[in-house]
Amino acid sequence: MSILSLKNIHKSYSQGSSTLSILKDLELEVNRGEIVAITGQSGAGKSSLLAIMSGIDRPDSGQIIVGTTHLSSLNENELTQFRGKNIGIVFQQFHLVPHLTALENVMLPLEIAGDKQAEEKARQSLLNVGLEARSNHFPSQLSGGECQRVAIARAFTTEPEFLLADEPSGSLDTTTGSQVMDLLFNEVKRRGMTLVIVTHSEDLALKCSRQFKLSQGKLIETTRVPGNVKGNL
Amino acid sequence: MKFFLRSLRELRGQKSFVLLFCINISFGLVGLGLINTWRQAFEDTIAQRSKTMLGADIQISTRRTWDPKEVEIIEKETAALGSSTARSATLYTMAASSSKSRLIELRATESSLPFYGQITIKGDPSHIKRLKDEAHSIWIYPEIATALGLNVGSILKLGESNFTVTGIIEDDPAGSWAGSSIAPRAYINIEDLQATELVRKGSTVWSSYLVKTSTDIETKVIINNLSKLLNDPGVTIADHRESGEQSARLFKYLTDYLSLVSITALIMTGVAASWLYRHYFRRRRKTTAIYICLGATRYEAFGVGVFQVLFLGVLSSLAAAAISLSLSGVLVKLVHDFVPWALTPAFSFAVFAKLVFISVSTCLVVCLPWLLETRDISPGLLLNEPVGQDSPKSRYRYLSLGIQVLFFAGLAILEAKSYFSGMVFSGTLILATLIILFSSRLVHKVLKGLATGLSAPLKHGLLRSVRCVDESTPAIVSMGLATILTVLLPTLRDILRTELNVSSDRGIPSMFVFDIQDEQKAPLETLLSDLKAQIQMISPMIRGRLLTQNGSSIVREETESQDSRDAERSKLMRNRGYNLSYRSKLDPSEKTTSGTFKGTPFSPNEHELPEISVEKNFADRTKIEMNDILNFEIEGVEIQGKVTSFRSVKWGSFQPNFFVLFQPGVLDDAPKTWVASIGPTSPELKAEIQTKIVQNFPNVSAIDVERVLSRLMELLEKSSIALGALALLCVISGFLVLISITRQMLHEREKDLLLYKVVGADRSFLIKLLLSEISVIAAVSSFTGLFLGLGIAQALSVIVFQSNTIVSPGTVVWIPFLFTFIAVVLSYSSIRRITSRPASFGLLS
Repeated sequence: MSILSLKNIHKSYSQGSSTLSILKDLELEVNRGEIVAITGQSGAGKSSLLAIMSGIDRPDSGQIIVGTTHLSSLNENELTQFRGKNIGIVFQQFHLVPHLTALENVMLPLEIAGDKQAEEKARQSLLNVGLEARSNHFPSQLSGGECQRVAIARAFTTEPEFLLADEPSGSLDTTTGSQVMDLLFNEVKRRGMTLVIVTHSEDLALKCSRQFKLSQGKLIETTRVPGNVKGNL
Repeated sequence: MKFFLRSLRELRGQKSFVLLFCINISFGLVGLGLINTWRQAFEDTIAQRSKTMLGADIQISTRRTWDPKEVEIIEKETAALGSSTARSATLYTMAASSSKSRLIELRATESSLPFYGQITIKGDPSHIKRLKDEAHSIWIYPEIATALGLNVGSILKLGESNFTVTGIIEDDPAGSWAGSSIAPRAYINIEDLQATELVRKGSTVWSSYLVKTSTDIETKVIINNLSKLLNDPGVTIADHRESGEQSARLFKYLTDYLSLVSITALIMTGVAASWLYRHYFRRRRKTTAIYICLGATRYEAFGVGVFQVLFLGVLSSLAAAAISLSLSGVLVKLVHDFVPWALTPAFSFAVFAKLVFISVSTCLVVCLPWLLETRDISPGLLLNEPVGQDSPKSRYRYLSLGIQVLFFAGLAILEAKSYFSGMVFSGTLILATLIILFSSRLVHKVLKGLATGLSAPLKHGLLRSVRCVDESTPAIVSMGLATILTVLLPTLRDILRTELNVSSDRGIPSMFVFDIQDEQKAPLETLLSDLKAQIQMISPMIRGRLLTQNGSSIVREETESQDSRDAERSKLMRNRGYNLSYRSKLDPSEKTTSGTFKGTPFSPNEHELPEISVEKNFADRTKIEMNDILNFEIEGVEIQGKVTSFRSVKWGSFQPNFFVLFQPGVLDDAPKTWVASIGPTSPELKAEIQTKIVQNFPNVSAIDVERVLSRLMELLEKSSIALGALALLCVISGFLVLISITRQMLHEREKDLLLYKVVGADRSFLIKLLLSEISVIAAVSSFTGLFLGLGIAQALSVIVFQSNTIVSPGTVVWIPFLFTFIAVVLSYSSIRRITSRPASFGLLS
């Protein structure tokens, strides 16, 4: 059952007088419970694609359907609220709010959504990532790995339908990166969620159920398991 | 050259920073630019007009009667160089028409005066008419003509003589500076003065010799010779320039205080500039590390930073000069009432150079911590981004803070031309800043506790303002200081209004009667008693001069143009003649601050020396200390006394108070006059008292205190307009700082705000969050400013005015609400802009 569907996605950017096409007639279908990796060279448009999938940015044309919702039919505020409830995002640079403690960072999406049990749920999320003891620390008092764990806890705390991760281990050393990724994968599997990861790492991509390569504005499925190819081939 | 180009190229990429930095510094400098333009115009005008103002080259004056020997010396010294000399006497006296009377300033001059310039008489275009042409003729200011219903040809009674009004003055080159005279002027020939019998023993008269010389050298020679020969502090010898500057003392003091207000604006915008530079430095650190990595030395990196700051300083001063120049017309209007003639704004090269110097120095000083930090930038940061690098190292921070305090305190001392005023100003400012910071942290702590119960946007706005206090500190300090100034001015004005209100029950007299001869005391008391007028206090006044202090002779100290205001005041006080008095008990308007006041009569057998009580401030200025032996000369008789107490005097009580009080039983038989204060009366009774005094005691003068106070209030209102204009500049600076900081803060926090959007916050959530944050900053700073402003006003009220008035927040309580509202409105456009941006790529890799 499809949780994310991208159809005929086009995206281009103006660069002075010329126009640079990043995504060309791109298609993608992700099923519930899948873990999908998107790889590609620098500048291939991976982050642009992630921004479009998450509703942070809009495509020039094409359709994005999350569950049964057409993102193009939502206005800016509706899109923001939809994202807050249904999509979790983990960034390479963690992007924690510096003046909020770990607990408050995790509580943030719940509070915005008006959840009365925000603190309770956030504490549970921190417990799940093993950071309950650091809940009152500010991001500047945490290590890189801890910051990314907080970011993961924040992404899970609203129990979204699927998760987007942008180079989640890109700012971490190999060991920490590996630990964080294990945590992310385990949580996704435990919750039966869907995960789309943008990464440079072939090793990480291989841990995913499906792999895609973004090249010349299109997605090419490179999954080694035959029979799962649904992207543009 | 490449070094400079590289420096400028770096700035080119930071247009928004350059613009905000220069706007802040230049706005902070505008006040000083205007004040210095004003000072320059004043000095130029004094240089051009001082001779016509004085009507001569030299003035030799005293408040006592000339000794024949002194007259001989003056005449001999001036005649030796072929200079012309003329006499002049100035006194306050009552003038009466057939039905009315009022106090006037009477100038009796020789017909050869003025040596320079011409008094213009209405309807007399020839301007050649001289007072000598008609005996017992008088020229009067239009105010006298209006008040007493006089025209040319009318009769005016002065003392025992009648004068015919032969001219109503249209233009007097020796016109009064604001605050230098309490009554309108009239001129008579000095030959006619004796017949008036106004000048009696002990009368208050300023007697002068005015000298016309041929050259400046001659002026200097005469002044030098006379200073040596007339070595008496009670005699003032001044050239026309010095005399001009002395007569404009109030104007100069006003300018000094205005410059202090201007420095407040500069400090406020300097704080913002420092904050802006800190953010620029944060961005520049990486670029600098790259330069160093590529071969530039740390000193070159430091040099680039210094050059950029110098460049910004010069750029800011150019903008400030342009704004000051364009506002100088407004300035002329503001000072119009203080100056007897029109001032032409003068933005000279000297003023410009001073502005450039202050601007560049301010920029260097406010950016110092980060400039110093530049020297420690290592290319290593390109490999590992260190955490918490935006604060300078403690040693740089404290060193810079010390230099910043010294710089602004030094600037305040130089601009106020007073060590005392500069230090009090700097101390108050530092204390106020510390209190603002302390209070804001305290309020933040309280608010933090309340945050949990609030809605999510308000809670996050509050948390941000509470936890990022460092970010908002410049805005809090600037807005706090702006509020203090805004609150202080109207509150002080209200205190003064209350203090100077004759009709209130503060015991302020309605009339002040002086020059009462000994033999006139009893009949005058009877007259007043018959009229049912209440004499509040009557005191003897004995003129004397201080010969020695602890055995050392008192010599005249000449004021110099480079003297600080403190030194100038001190010298003027020491040089003045002494009005001595005695009383058995202190008036309610005075109280002993140290020692014991002796009210019992002096007995030579019991006491070693008569005891003296000296007013505290006077003692401080004239360096008189406890137990000093003072030796006075009164009409040729020497009287010694010992200082045994200091008193504070509430001069605003308008009671007959004196700097020096003797114990009773010492001066009782000395030649004296009496001064009396008369309690509140109806206007009709006041007019009757004046008329009866003129009829029965023509030499006695009566000051209508209500009229003087109303003139004083008028002057205060005018001063407060000028001060208010400068305070407005501070308020605008405060908002400018807030806008600059808000803009920069929002720019810096764009990623944070986008993050809120990413996790589901819509635009209204962000708008509420940011508005609550701005409101907290504005409200905390402006309410702290309100309480501090009221506190400072109360302290000034008690310390300076010795008032018991409790300041009322009634007229100023709206200020913090208005400031918070304005701050929110001004920030709203930036908030709208930043929150309307869609969540974009900024957060992704």
